[in-house]
Amino acid sequence: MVAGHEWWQDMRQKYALVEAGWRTGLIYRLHYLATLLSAPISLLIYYYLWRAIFQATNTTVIKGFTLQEMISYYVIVMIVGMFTWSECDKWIEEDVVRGDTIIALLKPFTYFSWHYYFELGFTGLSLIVNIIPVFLIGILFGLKMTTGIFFVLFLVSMILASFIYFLITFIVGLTSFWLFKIAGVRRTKRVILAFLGGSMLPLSFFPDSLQKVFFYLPFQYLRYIPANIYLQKYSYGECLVYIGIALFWCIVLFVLARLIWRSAYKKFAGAGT
Amino acid sequence: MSRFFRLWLRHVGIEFSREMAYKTNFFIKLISLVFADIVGPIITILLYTQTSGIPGWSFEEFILFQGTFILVFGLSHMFFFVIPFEVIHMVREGEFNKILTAPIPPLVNVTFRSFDMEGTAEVIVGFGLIGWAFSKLHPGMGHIAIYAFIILLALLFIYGVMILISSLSFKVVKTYGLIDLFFKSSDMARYPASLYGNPLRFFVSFLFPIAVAAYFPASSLLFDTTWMRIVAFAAPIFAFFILSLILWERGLRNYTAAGG
Repeated sequence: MVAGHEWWQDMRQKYALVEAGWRTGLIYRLHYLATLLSAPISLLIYYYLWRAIFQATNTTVIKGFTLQEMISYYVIVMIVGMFTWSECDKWIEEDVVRGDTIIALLKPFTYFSWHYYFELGFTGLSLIVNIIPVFLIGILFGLKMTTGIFFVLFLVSMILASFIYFLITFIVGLTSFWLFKIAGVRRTKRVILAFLGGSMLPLSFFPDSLQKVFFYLPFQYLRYIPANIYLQKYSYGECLVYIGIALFWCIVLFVLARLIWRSAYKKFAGAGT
Repeated sequence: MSRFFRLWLRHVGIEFSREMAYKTNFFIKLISLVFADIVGPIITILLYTQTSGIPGWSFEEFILFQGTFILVFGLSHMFFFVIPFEVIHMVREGEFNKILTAPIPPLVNVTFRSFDMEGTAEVIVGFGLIGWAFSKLHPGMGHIAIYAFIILLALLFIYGVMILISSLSFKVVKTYGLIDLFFKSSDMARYPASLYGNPLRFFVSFLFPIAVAAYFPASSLLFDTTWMRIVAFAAPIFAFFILSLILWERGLRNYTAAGG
């Protein structure tokens, strides 16, 4: 009974953080509106670009994608991108630069969950104001529908992608304990994750040797694999293998984040005295 | 004139020291920009090896197109992109009065203060790509002159957009959304307008003439163009720039009134 009560307390505290994230997100209404307006713009560009390329190449399938699948790929990548969105590296940097880290440490949460649950509120808001509208816009552009089990597998891979993205961002944020200002590191992270994740071009366009390397890196699980699961490019078995590897990366990155946080904390405490 | 130039140099110096305060961050920022810009050409290489590429544009021509886009946005980054951020910041902190009391035109002052060193990385990448493409395509001097002129037009357009957003910042506090929207919309300039359907092509040519950032200059360099065509897309840009100046002046007047 007591344990249950503590659990409830814990949930209530975390919910408060989620709500804080949600409310902070509401301040950026115009940002959401811009993101929403930009979705049809991007899709229009990709539509015209790929239509022209398919016509010129005079084939119906390029690197395993039909035109409709290619457009669907970009819609799904966009949705996964919004779902996995995280900017905790920016918050961490701001705290470090302003000297506010101590405030976060005074709260009754670990530094990690403080940021995680806060961002969860952001994602929850974005789910309603961005992801569902983009899904509907995607249907206008001919988004391919997927079937029951693949949709469930897709959701699982997308949730794992959001963990991986958050963990990488958290680790990048922690580097500000040593580097102080990390605008450059943050941008490098964004470009690498977008490019190697497959946001700009499906990874099947890369040479085979590079694709083998990508298999051993965590990046393709951020966009490319979830999108391909949605598009039913893999068998159930393959989906499960990819989900397993994504889970493995979550664990590795989580342990890594803990270790780096521990030494960042020491560095911080050392600077304070 | 030399007074303005000295002031500009002073601001460049300030910006330089500001960046040098966090050297590691600055160099990583430069590397990240170079990296972000090189992603485009890498995608082009992949596209042209795996497909027959973008219709109407050979590989070298499209590299020229991308190089032009990167150069225009790099120069804009150096000189214009910080302007709205600077204005929003100063209006919010009440520092804008300083600008009004200084003995130079506020817009000139704000523009000088907004110089951003980072953009040099993009400018270098842009020139690199354009130089490589020139060595393959051998454009004539006349074409190069028109190309350079249209690039200046592109800078004028982007300057106008930044002034417009800044003018709105006097009234509406959070114009970051507009800046986001500008950058998202400018993605339309990343591919030739010839690919787009008629309504979108009209939109990027005349209503929001961002095609001037790469499509107009690159296509005028590669293919023969007429003066009529140049005038047709120069006119809306000049009109837009004058409009943004008028709105800026009006914004300034309102700001002064609110302060006094």
